[in-house]
Amino acid sequence: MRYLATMTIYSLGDAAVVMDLGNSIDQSLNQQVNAMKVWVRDHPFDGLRDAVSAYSSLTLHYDPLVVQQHYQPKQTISSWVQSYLTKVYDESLTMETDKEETVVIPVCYEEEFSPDLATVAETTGLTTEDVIEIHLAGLYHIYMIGFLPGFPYMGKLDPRIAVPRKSSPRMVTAGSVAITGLQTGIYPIGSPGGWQIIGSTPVRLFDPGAEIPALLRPGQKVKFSRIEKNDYVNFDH
Amino acid sequence: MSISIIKPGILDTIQDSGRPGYADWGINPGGPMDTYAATLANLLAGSEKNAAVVEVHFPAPQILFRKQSLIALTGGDFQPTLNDIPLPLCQPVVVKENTILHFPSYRSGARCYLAIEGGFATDKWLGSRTTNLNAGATGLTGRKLAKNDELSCGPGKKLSANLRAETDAAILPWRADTANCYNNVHEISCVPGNEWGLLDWESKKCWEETNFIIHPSSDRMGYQLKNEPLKMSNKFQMVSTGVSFGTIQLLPNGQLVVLMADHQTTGGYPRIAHVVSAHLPKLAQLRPSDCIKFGMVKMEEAEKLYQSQIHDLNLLQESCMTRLNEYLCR
Repeated sequence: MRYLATMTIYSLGDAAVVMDLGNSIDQSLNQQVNAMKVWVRDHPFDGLRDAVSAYSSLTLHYDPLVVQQHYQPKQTISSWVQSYLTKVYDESLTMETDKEETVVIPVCYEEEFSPDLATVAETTGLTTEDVIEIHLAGLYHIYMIGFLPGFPYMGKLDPRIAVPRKSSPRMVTAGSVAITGLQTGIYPIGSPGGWQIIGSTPVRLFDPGAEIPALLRPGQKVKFSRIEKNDYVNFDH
Repeated sequence: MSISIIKPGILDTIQDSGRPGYADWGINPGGPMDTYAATLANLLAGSEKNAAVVEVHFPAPQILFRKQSLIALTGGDFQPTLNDIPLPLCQPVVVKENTILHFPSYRSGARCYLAIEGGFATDKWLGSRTTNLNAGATGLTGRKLAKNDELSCGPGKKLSANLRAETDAAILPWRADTANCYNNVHEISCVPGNEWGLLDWESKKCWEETNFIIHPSSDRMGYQLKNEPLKMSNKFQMVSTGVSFGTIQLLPNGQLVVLMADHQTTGGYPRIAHVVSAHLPKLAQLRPSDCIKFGMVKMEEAEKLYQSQIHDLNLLQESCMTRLNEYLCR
């Protein structure tokens, strides 16, 4: 067994527990979290409601009554689920993980799609073209989906274009490609948002009518490719 | 069709037991704010406990029953009437066809649940009928009820077919006692959150000794609370993790927010405490400007409270079925 000094397990109320591998944005920890989630999906316990992966943590939501009835834990139900999580961690260490494919997302960075590009350039002391080139150069890891249905939290962004979020959120349109700190993300649906918008994708990231509504999932890689306005407008869904 | 919405309320949605299992897509489980009341309404109406119900807020809707139905109302008291006949809460009622349910005035609570025998048979999205207002789903899985919406109900056990309503509303002679669930409604028990220990001494004292007020901006996503700002003894940076219904987060301005049924799937603020599952129904019936007095309990206690609440509901389920069957054979 290879335990991490930074690892913690704790309850999240009386119907969820968390295993956190290190409270940080770190690709290898995130891959470990995803491996754990795969193991949980393959070996669920009775009463498991959902397994939620975030940057460095896996949260299991459970129905306490079902766990109680099926496993009759000697101590609390919560501590039973916590020991299950310890086992998940051990098992996931020896797992072969599938290599996740890279998804290419076309982005139009032209002015009408990038309301904050000039501000980002100004803040960072770069030209707008530099900002675009640096954003395009990255291969981004999807740490988690959250905030909005289908919203990917991706990183790490090149520190040269790291900027704080806007002081107050405003309405953001679906498809907006945004950055803040060392992260980049895409708004799948229109929503109030505080990240800096530097482009827009015509790709539909979230389609509630589809069998799998979200295009992206945690663990995948994303590469952006630049398109012109004409390609954006005529994009074939 | 079983019912039509003559006039919508401020926020009427369809809720079943929710849509768990899709957090990886950023879709939260949702479900009723007050799961106890929603379950109870179903049991009284002779439905499965997870059947779809209508959750209404005040101002509440006017609803036309197009055919005779066995129904039950639970939760908040908005003084319901059927063709001007006052209806009790927590009691099964056989309503005649072409009668109108109306909620003329506010009395207590925050959410009232309407269950109908067989459950509302609206379309499902990802295995659930629960309304998700921000995922852009179609039909009633994606929006609140509107004027002229028509809802049908599932086949159920057809108990109501044998129950002839001689008047507009035949109120059946038994009532569920909910006192165990809603006693001391402002006292909300919690278990400590992972960052509880990081609060400074004065903040812990404030948590333990003072009341928190629910701010008007509170909704189905979360309750914003108002009190003296709380402080952490150390600066603490955390990355986002999963969060839960009942998670109490400390915002950067020192105020607390309690995440409710429509919370996002992840959150990045320190978690001071978590409301115990058994007290979420009470909390769901509090409204803006109501006060909350928090208390901390151990995990053992939290689990026992929840088990005993579900045990009560299981007993109620049995007695509801027995009473309905007896009533039919009388």
